Amino acid sequence: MTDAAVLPGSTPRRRWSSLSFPGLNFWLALAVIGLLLVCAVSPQLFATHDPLAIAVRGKLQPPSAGHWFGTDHLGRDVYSRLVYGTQNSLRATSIAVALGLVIGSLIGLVSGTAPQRVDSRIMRVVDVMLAIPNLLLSLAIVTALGFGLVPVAIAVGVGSIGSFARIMRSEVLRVQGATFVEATALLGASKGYVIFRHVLPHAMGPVLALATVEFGAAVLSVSSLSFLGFGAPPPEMEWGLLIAEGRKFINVGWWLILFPSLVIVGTVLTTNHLGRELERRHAGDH
Amino acid sequence: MSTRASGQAASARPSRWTFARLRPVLTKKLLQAAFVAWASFTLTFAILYWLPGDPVSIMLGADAQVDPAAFAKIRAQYGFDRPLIIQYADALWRALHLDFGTSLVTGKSVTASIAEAAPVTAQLAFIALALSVILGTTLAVLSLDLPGFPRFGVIFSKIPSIFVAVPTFVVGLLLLQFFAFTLRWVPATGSDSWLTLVLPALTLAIPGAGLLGQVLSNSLHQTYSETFIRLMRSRGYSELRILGHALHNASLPAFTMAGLIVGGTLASSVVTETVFSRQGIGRLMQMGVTNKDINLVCGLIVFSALTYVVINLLVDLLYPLLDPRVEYRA
Repeated sequence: MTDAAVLPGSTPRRRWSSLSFPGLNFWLALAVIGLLLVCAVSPQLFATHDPLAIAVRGKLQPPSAGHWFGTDHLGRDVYSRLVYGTQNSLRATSIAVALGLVIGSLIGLVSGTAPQRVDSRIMRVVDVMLAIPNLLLSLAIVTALGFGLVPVAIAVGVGSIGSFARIMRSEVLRVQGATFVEATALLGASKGYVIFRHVLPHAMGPVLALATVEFGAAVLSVSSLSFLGFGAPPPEMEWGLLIAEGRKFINVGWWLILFPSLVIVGTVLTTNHLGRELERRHAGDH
Repeated sequence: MSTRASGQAASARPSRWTFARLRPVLTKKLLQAAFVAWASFTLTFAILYWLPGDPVSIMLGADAQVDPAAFAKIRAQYGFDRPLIIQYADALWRALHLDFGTSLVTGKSVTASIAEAAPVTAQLAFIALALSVILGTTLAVLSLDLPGFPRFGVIFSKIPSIFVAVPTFVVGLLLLQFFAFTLRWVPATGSDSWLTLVLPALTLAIPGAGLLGQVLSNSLHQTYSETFIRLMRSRGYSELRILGHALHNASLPAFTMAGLIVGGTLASSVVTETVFSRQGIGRLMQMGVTNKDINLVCGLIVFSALTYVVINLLVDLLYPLLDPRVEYRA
């Protein structure tokens, strides 16, 4: 065992991280997220055209100086539609992550602090939620709630409750075992005080890291459900929906699919990178 | 309680395989599997039949104008006028006999529709899983920067994280666009020749390959820092042979994710089969949700949960065979 400990850099991960510049990537990722947020809040800042202006004469134009990402089958500017679509996509994703984070954390917190019998029952239910693939669970909920952006967001959020509950519970259990928490309890602090003043703040870090990763997963799920036609109906704009519309013209217009796809992939890659960075930071903490 | 092998592993091992030793383990695992199957049915039932208040109004759509008499008649026809607990007990009893009622749209038996569509998806999923294992392993190995391999490890180590970041429908559409419409190598849709399987299988394989690549590359990195690798190097074994041993060791954590990957493949098949217009489980699911066919959706979700349960049961039971260090726990 000592052999392995003495040789530095025997695991390539360390060598890899010293090669790249994590600081730069981190700020770049943050900048991308900031840009997306600005797009979502005030799309008119970035859009070059009216996203709904129909110009049948200029339909299905390849990318050019006038239309950066080309035009669709009604002559609408794809770039502007993407910029405006950011709003719906990010809104649905945020609702989904917030829902999963709040309800999942609550379940995890209750489970972790409750007596063992209650804890094991709650975790059984969580195991079942994890046994059904997220997308299928979301599809069931969409069937029950009806179609639209908000039902899709709720469905995706409910699908992620299980993983939030699980990580929150394990974090709560870890923090509860720490000496300072036991000491506070011994000094006579009430259970509620210990949980909200000490356990919750210390358990929150990894949960927030998971929330960042889940944000990327939610972007994927929301756009998949929209693509399948269960999201907002067509006059609305959403990344997955734009691709679903472009799909009908797949053999004539590659730009209708490629650019929205790149935006989705870029967003997910960015949030995944941020999430991993946060996870690594928390792993270094303890 | 674990059936602990004694110091003489060789003499102790055969006794672990007697049925008497294995029975409590098997019983417990089977009970657990049955519980998950039951609970997933209950969860699905609760979402589909209880959450909306009235299944008939889902079927008809929110803004349907039906006169109350006809509404009541439909409710009575499907048995939705009975108390919820009776409906549940009835549905559970029928589900135990693999009967999920009839599709509300086509009128066909849900079980028959699933049985008809399952082989199509199974064939696709098998090829996709094989592809994702090959692809994932290749990426993980190439990311190691082993002596004698091309030294682009940094590049290969990024690919799995890109694979998991790309939505399935994007992969499908981009493959379709490039190979079917631009190069015209393979037909775009249909399910008659094996050529039509290539693109869907590749599409389904990408997310699995990404997941597997990430897990495997982590555990391979760990394995390569273990002493036995250095020992083998010092004894002059070829890199390929060392890799074989390391892969055997490192594949074990990845093996436990089989259930997750198969479940993910089933979920991705919804999108993949929609993109490639194949008549499988996923397409059935997409149509079920579009038509608000709750019986069909319920049957399909229980079906996929059952698949997950069975795969996990198999993994649990096979794991000690693959890794002698792990013992059956009752």
